[in-house]
Amino acid sequence: MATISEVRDRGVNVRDIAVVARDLDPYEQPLTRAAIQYGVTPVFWTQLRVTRTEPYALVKALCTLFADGDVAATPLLAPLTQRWAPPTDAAGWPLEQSTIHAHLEALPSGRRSIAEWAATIPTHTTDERLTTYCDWLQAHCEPEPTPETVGAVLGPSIDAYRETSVPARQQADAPALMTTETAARATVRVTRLVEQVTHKYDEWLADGTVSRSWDAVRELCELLATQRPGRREHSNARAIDIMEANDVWALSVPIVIAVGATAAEWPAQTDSVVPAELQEAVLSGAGETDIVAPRTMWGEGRDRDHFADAMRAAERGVIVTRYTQTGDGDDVHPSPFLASLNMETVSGQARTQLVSTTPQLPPAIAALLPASGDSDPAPSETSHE
Amino acid sequence: MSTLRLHTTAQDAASQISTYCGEEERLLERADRTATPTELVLAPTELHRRNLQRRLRERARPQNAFEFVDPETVAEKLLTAADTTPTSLDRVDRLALLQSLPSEPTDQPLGLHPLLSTQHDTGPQQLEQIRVELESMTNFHPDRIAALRNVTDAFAGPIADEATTLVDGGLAVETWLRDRTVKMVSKTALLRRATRRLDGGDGGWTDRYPDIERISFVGVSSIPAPEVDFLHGLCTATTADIELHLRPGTAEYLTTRLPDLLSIEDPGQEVTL
Repeated sequence: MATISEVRDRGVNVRDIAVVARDLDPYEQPLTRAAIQYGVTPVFWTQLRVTRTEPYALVKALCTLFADGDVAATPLLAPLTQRWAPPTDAAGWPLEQSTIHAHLEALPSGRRSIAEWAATIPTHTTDERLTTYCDWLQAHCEPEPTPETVGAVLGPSIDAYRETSVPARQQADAPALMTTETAARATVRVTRLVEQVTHKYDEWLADGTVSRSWDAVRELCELLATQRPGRREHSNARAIDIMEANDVWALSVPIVIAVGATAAEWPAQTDSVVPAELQEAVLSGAGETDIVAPRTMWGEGRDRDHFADAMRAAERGVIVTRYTQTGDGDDVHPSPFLASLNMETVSGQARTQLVSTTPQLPPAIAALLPASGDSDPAPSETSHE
Repeated sequence: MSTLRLHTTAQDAASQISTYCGEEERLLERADRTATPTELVLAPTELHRRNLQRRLRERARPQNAFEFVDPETVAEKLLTAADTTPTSLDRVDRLALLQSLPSEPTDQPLGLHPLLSTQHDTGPQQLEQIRVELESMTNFHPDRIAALRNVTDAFAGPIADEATTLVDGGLAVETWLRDRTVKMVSKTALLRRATRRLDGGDGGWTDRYPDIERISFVGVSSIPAPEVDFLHGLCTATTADIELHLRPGTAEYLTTRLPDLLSIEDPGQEVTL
């Protein structure tokens, strides 16, 4: 990220750089932290862990509340904690977390039905927003919901979250707009999820797979949310693309930064249910197995493809980084794929300088930039920072 | 980057297919203004389609000569031309059905006994993975299943058992699912049905894709059996040029294997379940 920051300061558009990892999962958090430190906004082209996002939690809290019927005060207000807002007249929404906390303190203990809570709440608070909320709950509380009811509860709740709660977050956001960025991406995903859930619930009711209940809806949400979705681009012209190597195929960007070029990651073993001996037989196509289709993920082939295409995507140069030790102090070897590259190694001193308070771009990397007039630079290797 | 032409001896299903590695440029240069698409660009990975479209946009080239699509969608369109719209289960449906497998061994399908008894943690997701991997290797074609069984027999005892469990298990999962739905088990089943139609003649091709002169299969890092057979069917039913755009790490290997994979008779045919 220090490299990106320096390269950008030399007038290179961040859209001209792509960061590539074999598998983004372990890199999403560290790269996000580094990006914020260097004032770069990252866009991850990967599955958002939707189940850990606020709009998903909102949908789940609503399903749980309606499924449970008699509830204590905490689950009753759980959707508010996840920033529920009314479909219309949303000025003053969502409620502050401290306000919700104060209400919880004031409300009596014990379980009550939604109708009982609606009657109880006005005797404990004068906050009209709670009355609005309870009225909405009562209007939609249907123990055996039809797909239409599910759509009418979840759809407008997510719409209101998008219209009211995301902008509210934006006002109180960190410099890199990461929270808003995540909330916005999550909202798009959850909006689609709600459409899918409504549709699938309808289908499953029709063929008798489930009967009408909010529990069934909640389970369906979990099932659909944990599916690997199609990936989507979140367009943000000032942000840097961070992608998985397979997804880079056919792209062309001036500078590619490949992270994690270690022996453990590139190549990495892929889980398969096929016994190793059978994999080998099919890979070699010996005898009759020549007609059986091999899976190239069994060997190194697929990772080799992904790595090679990440290198090919670079127009001007590639910066390869790797770490040399694990957190436990074990040595980590470089990826064998690096042997095929003609690289220039950035010295330890240049790397230290790069991440210092007076950062300087290592000369080998500076040579990749347009100002140098070097049209066919050699790829460089720097160590992971 | 090399251009490799395939040579087959058995039949010339493969003579229509040429393979390329790292030559996406060929495809991008064909961008032209046409009234209707003349080239199907089959990209199994959604982002690859968008990457090509982004490259075309960056060069301000028109996209209307191309129809960017995945193979399953082509199969669906070919079948829709012939029947009422075919429907298939998705992964969520399959997992839900597998969740309802009886827990009593006596009520379970025979083929699943070894899987469910020796590996007690075999849940719906693993059963589905077994089904998917077997389908990817064989497309449930009788010759490929037989070949797998034969090679399996040659292994040492415990490994042979494990491999047999996998083959029987994959077929049993597929059967269990088929018996529980009027829909197709998966999109891949649509691909197989379309392959059989193509292999038997025109398969709705001329009707649905009258202007397509070329089919490019792009971003290919692996060619699962269902895709191989679909390509085979396309070779039989159409005179379109087929370009296979392979990738640097696997191009040579896949080019060597492809003729044998394509040599199968009656592509799309399924083992009797």
